[in-house]
Amino acid sequence: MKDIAYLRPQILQEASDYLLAYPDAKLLAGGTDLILSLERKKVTPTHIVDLSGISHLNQVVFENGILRLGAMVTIQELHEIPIVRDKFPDIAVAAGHLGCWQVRNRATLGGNLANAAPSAEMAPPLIAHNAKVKLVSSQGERMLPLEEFFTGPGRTIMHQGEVLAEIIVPEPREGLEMRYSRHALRRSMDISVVNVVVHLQLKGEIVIDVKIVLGAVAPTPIRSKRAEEILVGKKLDNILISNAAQAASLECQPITDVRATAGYRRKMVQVLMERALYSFFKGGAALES
Amino acid sequence: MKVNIKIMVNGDPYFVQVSPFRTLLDVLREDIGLTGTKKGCGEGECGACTVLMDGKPVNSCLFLAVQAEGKEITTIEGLAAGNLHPVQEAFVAKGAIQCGYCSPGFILTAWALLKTNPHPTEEEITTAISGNICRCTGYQKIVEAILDAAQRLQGGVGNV
Ligand SMILES: Cc1cc2nc3c(=O)[nH]c(=O)nc-3n(C[C@H](O)[C@H](O)[C@H](O)COP(=O)(O)OP(=O)(O)OC[C@H]3O[C@@H](n4cnc5c(N)ncnc54)[C@H](O)[C@@H]3O)c2cc1C
Ligand code: FES
Ligand code: FES
Repeated sequence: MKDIAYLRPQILQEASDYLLAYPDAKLLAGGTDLILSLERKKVTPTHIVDLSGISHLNQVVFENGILRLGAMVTIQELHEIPIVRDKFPDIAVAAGHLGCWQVRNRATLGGNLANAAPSAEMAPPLIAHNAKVKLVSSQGERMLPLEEFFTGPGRTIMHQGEVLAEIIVPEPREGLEMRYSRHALRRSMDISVVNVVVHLQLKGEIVIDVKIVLGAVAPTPIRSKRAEEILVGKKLDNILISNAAQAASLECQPITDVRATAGYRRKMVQVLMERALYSFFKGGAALES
Repeated sequence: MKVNIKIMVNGDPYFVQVSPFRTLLDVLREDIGLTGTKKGCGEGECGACTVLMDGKPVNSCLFLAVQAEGKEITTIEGLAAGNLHPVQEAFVAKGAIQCGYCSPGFILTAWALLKTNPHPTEEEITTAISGNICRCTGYQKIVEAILDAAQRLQGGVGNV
């Protein structure tokens, strides 16, 4: 293998400087995606820039109704932190489904998002929560909605020299209920075939607010805006549920790969949507896996 | 470019010179000579290479040795102090070992679980070990061994 240089900056700006100085440098977070790509020679960086020396990237702060997650917070931490479990249960549940314990102890939130797999476990719940991402470079910083972050499989809106520093999540409104569901071929240790997150608020039987995000069924995680339009302002009943589930399954653009065919994925979107929506009838039914 | 690092393994410091892309697994086995940690898939799927990093199980095949600087690594060699560790005794007593290739990984994962959750349910055990693969035992005896280990660690004898 070609020679690789290893760099471990202490501050973000320095990491950004390295990325700008060495165009073929790669950031290293937990390494659970990157090390496989190195071994398979899918990437051949000249420099590895390890983010683990930048201490504030590990921080989790909940203040004034805003949750701030450093990019280096691990998936296992997200699964365990009481404030996440309590106020953002779908995020904690999604985290618990990523890989296995060994992987979760290394895998980071920033790495999961920056890697930009269409199936990235953490993206759908965070998009549903209106999360924003903070991108930092030596030239400055910018914030944008996570929904605009992904541009294709493995591609994001980040420029050369930018580092994903923080994920900012507002506390959900009182009365909003959340459902996370995934379908994978095995119960654990498998990438999702379909991910569905539904955030919904009912007033009586009327849907007053709803957000639907689908993972692994398009080049990037997507909102199902058509299903949202069908639901909002209406009485949640069997016909509405069936229409919304069908709309979501038509709106996604799945592919056929080793795990599932496009048709199967579409069908599973419909099934998971129906299950998620029916669960709001019962009021507060547990989050599904 | 090689990097000089100090790694703490089982409480002992090791000073090694490594290429940045070498995994902790390879450095443990080839440079340090601790071959109790096994290599199965090399891709994070099987858990044979499990070690503890600051007490938490991680796959050493998905871990660059340079990332271990400043961390406490525990391998299977670090578990037994003279006699077998209670988790190891439980695996022997319950017949949870056949070929043994997966055992170091399972035992370390089990030990990490029992340290934070001394009375796990069967379901908590199967969740914890879902990243460890065994091709011989069919898992049931491993789950029984971990339940038994929980009792042994409580000072009980376990139902052998
Ligand atoms: C056995 C196994 C099972 C898995 N199961 C799942 C699963 O079920 N669901 C799932 O979604 N994923 C899964 N993964 C994939 C992986 O573990 C996750 O995507 C993980 O969150 C990646 O994080 P990391 O810190 O390890 O990233 P790394 O491998 O360190 O980095 C990934 C990429 O992101 C870039 N990067 C990292 N941090 C930043 C940052 N702060 N700013 C900018 N760029 C950055 C890196 O340069 C690299 O290109 C699995 C992996 C394995 C090995
Ligand atoms: S060798 Fe590391 S998980 Fe298989
Ligand atoms: S005992 Fe042979 S693989 Fe587990």
